[in-house]
Amino acid sequence: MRTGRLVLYTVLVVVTGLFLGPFGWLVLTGLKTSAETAAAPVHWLPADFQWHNFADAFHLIDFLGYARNSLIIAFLYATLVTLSSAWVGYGFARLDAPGKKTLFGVLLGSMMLPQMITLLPTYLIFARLGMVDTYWPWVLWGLAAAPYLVFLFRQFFAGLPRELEEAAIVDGCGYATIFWRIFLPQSWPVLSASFVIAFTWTWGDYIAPQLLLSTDRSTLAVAVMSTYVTSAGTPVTHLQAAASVMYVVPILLIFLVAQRGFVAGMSTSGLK
Amino acid sequence: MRAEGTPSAATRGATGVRVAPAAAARPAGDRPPTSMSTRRHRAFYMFASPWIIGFLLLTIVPMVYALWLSLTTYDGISPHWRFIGLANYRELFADPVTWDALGRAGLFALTSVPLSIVAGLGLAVLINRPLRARALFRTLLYLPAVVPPVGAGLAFKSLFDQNSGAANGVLNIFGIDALGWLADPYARYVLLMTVLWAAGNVMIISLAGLQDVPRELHEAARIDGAGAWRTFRSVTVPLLSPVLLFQTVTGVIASVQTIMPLLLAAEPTTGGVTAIPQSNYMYMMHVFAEYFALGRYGYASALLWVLFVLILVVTGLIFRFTSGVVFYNVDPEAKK
Amino acid sequence: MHTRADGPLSRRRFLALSAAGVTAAGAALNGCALPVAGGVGGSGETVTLMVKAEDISPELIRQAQRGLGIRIVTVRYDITKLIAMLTSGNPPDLVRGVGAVDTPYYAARDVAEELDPYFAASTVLKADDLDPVNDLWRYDGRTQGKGPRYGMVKDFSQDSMYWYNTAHFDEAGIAYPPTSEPVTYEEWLDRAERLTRRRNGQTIVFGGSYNGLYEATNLSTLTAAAGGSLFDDDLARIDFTTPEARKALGWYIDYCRTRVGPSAIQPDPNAWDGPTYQAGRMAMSNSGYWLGGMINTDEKLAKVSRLAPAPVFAGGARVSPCQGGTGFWMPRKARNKDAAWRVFEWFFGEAPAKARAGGGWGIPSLKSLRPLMPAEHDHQRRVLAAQEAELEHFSVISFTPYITAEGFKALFNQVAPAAMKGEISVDTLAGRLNSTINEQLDRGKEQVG
Repeated sequence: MRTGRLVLYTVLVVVTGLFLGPFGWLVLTGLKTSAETAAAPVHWLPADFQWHNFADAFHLIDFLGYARNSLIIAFLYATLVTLSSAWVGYGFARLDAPGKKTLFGVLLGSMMLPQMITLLPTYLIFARLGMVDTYWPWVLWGLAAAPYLVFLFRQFFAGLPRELEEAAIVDGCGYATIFWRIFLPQSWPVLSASFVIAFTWTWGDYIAPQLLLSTDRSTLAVAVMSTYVTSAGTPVTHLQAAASVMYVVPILLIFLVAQRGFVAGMSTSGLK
Repeated sequence: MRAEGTPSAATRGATGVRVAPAAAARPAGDRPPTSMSTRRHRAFYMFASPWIIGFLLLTIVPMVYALWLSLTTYDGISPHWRFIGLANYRELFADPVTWDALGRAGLFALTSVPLSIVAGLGLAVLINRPLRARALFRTLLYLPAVVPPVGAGLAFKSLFDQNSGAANGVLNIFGIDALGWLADPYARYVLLMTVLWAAGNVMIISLAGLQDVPRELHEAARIDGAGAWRTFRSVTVPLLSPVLLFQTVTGVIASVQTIMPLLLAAEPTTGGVTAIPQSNYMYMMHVFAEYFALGRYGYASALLWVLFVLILVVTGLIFRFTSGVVFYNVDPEAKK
Repeated sequence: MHTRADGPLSRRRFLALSAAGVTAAGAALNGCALPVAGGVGGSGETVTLMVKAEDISPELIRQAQRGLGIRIVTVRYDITKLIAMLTSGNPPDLVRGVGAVDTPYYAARDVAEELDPYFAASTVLKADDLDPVNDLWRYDGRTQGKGPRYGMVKDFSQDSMYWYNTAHFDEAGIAYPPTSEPVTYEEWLDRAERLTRRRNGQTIVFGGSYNGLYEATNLSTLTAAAGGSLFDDDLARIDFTTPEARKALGWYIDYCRTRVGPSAIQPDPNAWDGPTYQAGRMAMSNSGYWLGGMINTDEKLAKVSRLAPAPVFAGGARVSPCQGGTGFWMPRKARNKDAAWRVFEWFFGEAPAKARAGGGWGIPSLKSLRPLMPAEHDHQRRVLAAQEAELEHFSVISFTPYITAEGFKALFNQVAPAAMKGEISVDTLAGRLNSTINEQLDRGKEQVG
């Protein structure tokens, strides 16, 4: 038993090390001088740790401003889309109606749609609605539910035992009540997973904000991608690396908080 | 709530809810007690409506637009574009580049999806055990999945640079000559590693699924004398099968549509797609090249429509082949 | 009403909750995201610029607000977004563009405003003060460099020149290239091979880079240097099989095949020579004057760096064009042309232009600003002298309106790597390039009409 645990921890530490490697390299790149990033053979550690790179990366652009924009969009979208997708997912998992199967097929189908196909028309639609350069598109997208998450919730709800709702139906509760009072509280693991996923999407997406927002309203992803350049427009790799590291921090914090939801799921399992 | 005045999402959202279920939901008033099944039908549309409305407005309209474009020579800016029927489709089917790019995308999906799922599920099982510092490990393992694509591209590019990268530094320590990782034929492996690196995404979803596997079942299996592997195979996997199906389908879609090869290119801009090593020049990259570099919106839209239909078919097949294998506590398709 | 359907209470609560979320967010939405794309003119005018981050800094935008009373809103340059904005009838007021390759493209499609009347009336940007480089932004329908002006260059370099690091030449015992007379391309490549140092499968020192700014401009410049022209007279056909173009293509493929510098088959993860050159790992870098902006900040590097004239082909012409010429153009349907022109004047002729001239990242596009170029130290004066001598060989090389530089690059990179790896001959490559690029040119020609 003891050796078993030792093996387990060893495996875990090695695997975690492998997974952290590239990120660690990104951190190291962010601590080098520009010339050092191009040294050959490789400089494992910076000769002098350029801690100021992080400050430079922070001050070269309005980092906090962009982070705030990203936060607003990501939080808004993740909250709305998680609720709306759970709502829709419940319908697909626990209810039926003529045409449901077809609709589910369409839903899955729409997930397969390459986002790019919608690039030009999406701009034109939002331009006509006067929503270019506002955050309303993210509200609309959030309210409209995301097929991926609907699918996620549908799979989850479908896995819960039927007894859960039967008593409530006999008591005459509406489906909305059942969804809200019985299913949602059971769903913390998926709700938090969904929130984290949606948050990460929006936090990492640069195609939509690039297309729909002006520079000042745009997100950190766009800024990190395109702002760390010299006067001649060539990329400044080491600052970009430092910025990418800082860019990950908020997501990690969100995850640290949200992951308690996964654990909480332990006690919510239906078969008791 | 901003119900009046300027176009706002709230009003649209509200109208949305109002319009679609109206077909299914009659006014409540003095009506005879509705049957269970009518209630269920109405309720279904009430639940599905946000998606249906959003889908019509934000997906169908753009799709039809793209379908129309795919029948033209539209390049966005030139004055004399015209309708050419199915010529774009004929051209793309006759072009060997399409098929090569499609083949690479298919091969990539076939390797990256199973590997990601195995890796993600493995991590989830590992991390689901009672451990010290579990939250820490979980966060660290998930970390790569939240590194923005730009950062991930940057990290792997500098890690695998032929001259200044850490990967070749390691090879040199063992007396092996440096490899040109970012060029053919190795670029595909770097791409695969970049994608596997984000297996944390699969991990958290599997983890959410694992939380739902009742511990009693595991204990029952253990009492029956089943070993860890058998328990995993005959208890965990079947119970996780809806989640695994989900991972497979979404994984295939994501892998076919990945833009990671672009971010590994020397210039990670939409134009940089043009300098991608051949082995990473997959279908989506071909679309990027036609769309952004050559400005052939019509032709690129045709390529995208073909891709869409193809994924649809592949997913249909996945569902067909797994229909007997996936286990639901409540079958969502069962008629009641 | 929907609120009276089944389970009204919970559902209303759900909707109310969503609405509350929306309302709360609404403050943010309205507070910091008022629609501006409409650019409705009020007291102070608003001008929308589509630019890249390096074009204009937030500080300059604040200066414009203070000095001109014009509010500048920027959107990031993105060709798809530009087209979407043009299509929706709401284009930016000024758009950044690369004169060398964009001018014929936009002019031929009639989306760019002719700026001659504005120039004629301007007291800031006077005709006789304009550097010849601004001719990159002229196009008369057949030739680039003649006809109406569609834009202006913000600053420039002669991009076929190259920098070299004397330390590497000393170490290899090779004589420095002359600073006033060009070497031949063959000599350049020969030196690059001798300067390249490899170890354990790694290139420790690149002998030299020579990729130009775009494949398209590099190859058409090389062809011009060989005495020919890559495109035919009406710019609608390309031919790599003429002796001159074949020579140029063959040389460039040789450059890639010998792997003396970065290329499509040996990518540089930094996407430019700067870090590699600064790390002392590149003996020659095909970059014009602009690289001095980086070199000047590193005193040790500046002392060993020299700027040399663009090479020539034996028997060819001495040409040293600008392959970029980045600047702004004004969409024909811009909403706010007068204010946009005021910004244009300020950007190209006033404080921002002066700041750029002193920065060393490019030669100013107004002759009157040349005295501002950095000339404080010996090494800066040396560079300046080399640069001034080279200016006499400046010329405009026409690019075709029927394909973009990106499009050219895409098609080139689909076919050329095989030749760079020695899998197909240069003649085969020339044939394939002709057919694939001409196909796109035909499409362009048909659509421009």
